[in-house]
Amino acid sequence: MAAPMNSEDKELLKDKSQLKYVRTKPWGSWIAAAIVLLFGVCLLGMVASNPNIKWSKMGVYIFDSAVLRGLGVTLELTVLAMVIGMALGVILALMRLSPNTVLRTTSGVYIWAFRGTPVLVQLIFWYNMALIFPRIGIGAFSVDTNKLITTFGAAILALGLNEGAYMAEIVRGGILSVSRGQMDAALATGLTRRQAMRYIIIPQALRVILPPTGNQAIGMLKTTSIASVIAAQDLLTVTENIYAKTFLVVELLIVASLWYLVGTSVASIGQYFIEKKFGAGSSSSGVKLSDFIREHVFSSSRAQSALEHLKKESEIRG
Amino acid sequence: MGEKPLLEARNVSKSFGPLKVLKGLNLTVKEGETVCIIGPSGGGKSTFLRCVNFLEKIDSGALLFKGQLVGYAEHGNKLKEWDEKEAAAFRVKVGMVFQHFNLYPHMTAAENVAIGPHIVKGELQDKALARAHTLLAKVGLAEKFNSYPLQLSGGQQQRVAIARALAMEPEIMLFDEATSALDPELVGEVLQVMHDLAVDGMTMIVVTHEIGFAREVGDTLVFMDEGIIAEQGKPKAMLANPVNARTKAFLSSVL
Repeated sequence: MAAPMNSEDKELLKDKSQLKYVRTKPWGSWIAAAIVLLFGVCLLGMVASNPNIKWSKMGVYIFDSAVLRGLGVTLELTVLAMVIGMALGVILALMRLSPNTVLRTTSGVYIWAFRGTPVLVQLIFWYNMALIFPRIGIGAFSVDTNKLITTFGAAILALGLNEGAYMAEIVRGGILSVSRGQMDAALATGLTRRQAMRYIIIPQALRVILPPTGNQAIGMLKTTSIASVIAAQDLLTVTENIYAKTFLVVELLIVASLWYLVGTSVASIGQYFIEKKFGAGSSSSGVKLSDFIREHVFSSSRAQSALEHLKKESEIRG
Repeated sequence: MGEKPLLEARNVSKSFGPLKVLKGLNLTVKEGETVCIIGPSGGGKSTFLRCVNFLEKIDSGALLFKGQLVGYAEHGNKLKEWDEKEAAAFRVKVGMVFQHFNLYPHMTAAENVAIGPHIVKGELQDKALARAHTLLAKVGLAEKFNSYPLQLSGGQQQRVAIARALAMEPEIMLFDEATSALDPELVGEVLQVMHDLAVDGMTMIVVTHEIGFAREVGDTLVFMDEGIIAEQGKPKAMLANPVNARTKAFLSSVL
């Protein structure tokens, strides 16, 4: 128990309570920030005022019809490769989780081979398929391989089959993240295994699968640029073709980069909304663009919103 | 309580690899009876419950539900293992409540209760949700209709889980340590719901550590140890005068 305060102590406390608190100033980070800002401004100035970069030409080429067509091909490649990758990923993941050894091993070997070799090598391999299989078909029915696997086809095959291996691991992780008790509970209420997967397991797994899948799609948008080595007429192929004639190398690379940035930014926004939609039961369900901006642009407030969420939850729990 | 046996276990054995979990277990559960199973962990209590609704398959012996073999159907002179649909159809008749509730976290309390009748029995969504509301009211959770499991306390979650099992209108309820994962002050509300069910005449097998519940609500008390039933009897008599040495040792350690 505290001893009763004598009058001297009381006087002292009264005096101190009238003083002002002065917080420590983070001088170190202020100085660092000033240096970073200075460097940034210098760099921007150097680039902006550089006589070797013809900014006006970029304005000409950014909406050039060939560039836009290239952008279209890049988007097509991205979507098709992701669709193939996801479908393959689901099949491979289910095989990997199967009690059957043959299915499990086959899937394991596929994932091992396609994740273990560079996608660039796989691309060139598919492009040269005709060297080992000049014609593809069954019996009398066969077609010239080079007609079947065009540059675009080779790019789709390479990107899609490679993506399948990565998506398989993502899907498998998602399914394994759902506790075994969920399947038990679903079966115990009389659902079949298939119904349990569809209504109970998959919706929960999706919450785990979607964020990395979004990252994969954004990555894919950029990875399609390797298709330029077989001249698949994607964004990078097209811009390369233009600068080969005009020698505006940096200008066109900036044009291509701007379009890639637009694509990845739009995809990030889409990813945010899709993830929100599947977040029922875990967080607030209202989806607003302002939330997106708060979470992604002002990332320091992420911790804030997590705190708010925790507070809300503890209030509910009472 | 009727005299007809609803469930019979005859010489049931079950192993997981080299580990023998059930070693020739015999038990009869009559219609309307509440059988409480106690015993040390690892004694096969949970495994037995999982065998009853065919979540696990027994190795030998027989489980009979209303005289019909669980897990197998007669085809000519052969017994064929149930396919998915036959197993699912059987499980509708057997409600199960788990230690860790296993509510579906992506659904509200009402949806948790309504999804079984909606998908399995083809009940219309509105009707299933209305019935879910009635069932949730029955377990004292009418106002938690739209809450997600994460927003509920453990006791409330377990009561939703009981409502979910009841929604299928089962003929027997299995409780697998339904209160073991709960904070002590939340145990009572769940036991109360289970007590009311027993009074209503539901046939129940209750694996529990709540000796008080077994004494007051149970019609039969079973002590299970090392894969067999070591002792069985009327709860009050058995708790007062256990015959088996292992039962004595177990009871003296928990009471």
